[in-house]
Amino acid sequence: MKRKLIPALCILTALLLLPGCSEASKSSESQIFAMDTVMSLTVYGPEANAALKAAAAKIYELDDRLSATKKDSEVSKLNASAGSYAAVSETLMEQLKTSLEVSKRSGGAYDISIRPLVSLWGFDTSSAHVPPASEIASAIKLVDYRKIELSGSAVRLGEGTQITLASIAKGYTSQTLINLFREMGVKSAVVSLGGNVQALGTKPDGSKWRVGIQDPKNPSGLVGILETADTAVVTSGGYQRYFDENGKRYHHILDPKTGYPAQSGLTSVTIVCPDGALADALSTALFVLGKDRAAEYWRTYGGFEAIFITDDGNAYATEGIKGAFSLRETSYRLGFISKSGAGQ
Amino acid sequence: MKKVSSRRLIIIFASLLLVSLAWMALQRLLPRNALIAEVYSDGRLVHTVDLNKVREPYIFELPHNRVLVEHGQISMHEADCPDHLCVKQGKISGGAYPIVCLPNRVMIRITGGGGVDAVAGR
Repeated sequence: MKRKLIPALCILTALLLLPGCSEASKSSESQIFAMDTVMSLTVYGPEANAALKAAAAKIYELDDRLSATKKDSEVSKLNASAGSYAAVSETLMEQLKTSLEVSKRSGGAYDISIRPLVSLWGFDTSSAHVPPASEIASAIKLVDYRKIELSGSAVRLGEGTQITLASIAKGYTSQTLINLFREMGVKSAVVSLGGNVQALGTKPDGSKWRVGIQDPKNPSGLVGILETADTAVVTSGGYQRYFDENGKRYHHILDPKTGYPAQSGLTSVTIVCPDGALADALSTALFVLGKDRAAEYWRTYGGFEAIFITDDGNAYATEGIKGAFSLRETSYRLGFISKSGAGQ
Repeated sequence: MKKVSSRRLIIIFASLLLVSLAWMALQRLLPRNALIAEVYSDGRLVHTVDLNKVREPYIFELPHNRVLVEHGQISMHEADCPDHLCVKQGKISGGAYPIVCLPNRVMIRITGGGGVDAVAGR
């Protein structure tokens, strides 16, 4: 009896002590202020501290390179060389390619050459305001993604064309961080770059990450929760950045066609896609397109799932995430969008 | 080598077992009773407090911000930033949404995250 009891107790004790000391379930966190937002990085496993250190350096490097408001950034230099070909880094080229693809597919609802309009509205400063209609009309003539020409590793912006990567750089950065973590041997991590969420693998215990989708009507609440792994989850919404003037609210997502904040009947769009940069660009594109045209985009090109919140209080999810997304805020009604086009 | 009696071994392992069981129980119980708030300044954790243990409200001072710590809740009391978005956000007592003062690089959050690992949206 005693002989059996001792080894049994040994094993039991060891097993109980194991999970508490396991390196794989240990997490390290860091908070970084960059790209005009706050970033929260959580990495699990023995490589966590080294990975966070490398991540911080990468974030600052990309911020310096991709900002359209920092004078010495690669983007500012490209804007300054408009009219002639300029060699650009692979980092910039990848984002230009993704941007232009989304621009073409969305028929110009997404356009990184929107910078003259953004500056006119002052959305890249702390003093946004409604510009005169005449100035909007002249700025809008400068917005045309077809004037961004790529040739090998060089780019030529048309005369007067100015780009901003505000709608893709954070997603590109989260993708870069996830790639970096994977190369360093990290199996489990989640980053949130000002609400651009991207996850590597699952949680250390193998369960899926629970990503809350912010409620546009009550930004301290959640519309619902998405259970997911190895993907980016990016939300664009008019509630995120706005100003009030003469009793009217103006949000920051401008429609390149009208020059005014997009009025598409949506309050937010969430994209679930393995590619962080594409997810970021698509969230803006589909917000501008509105639910029905966005659903058409999804049916035509696929490669992602989406959740649309409409201004009449409904939530619609594409059928690929049926079962993964659950409502938490019961004042919303949840519908699904199917590939065949039949609503539910 | 002196032979250790089986009885002694059983006692050793039984007590180890008890200690680890107690430790696990403690880990499970603690987060339920505690409401931990963290204040970060420029990415560094500068203040941690269990809001459920706060009896008298107090102000935690930072160079450009004043954080009001109360029983069960925490808020940005004052800030010298231009937009005061952080002050306008009011008091938080849970949930996944932190208070952020971007211009001064200050963040206040409650750990536990309201049952989620991250929030998409801002």
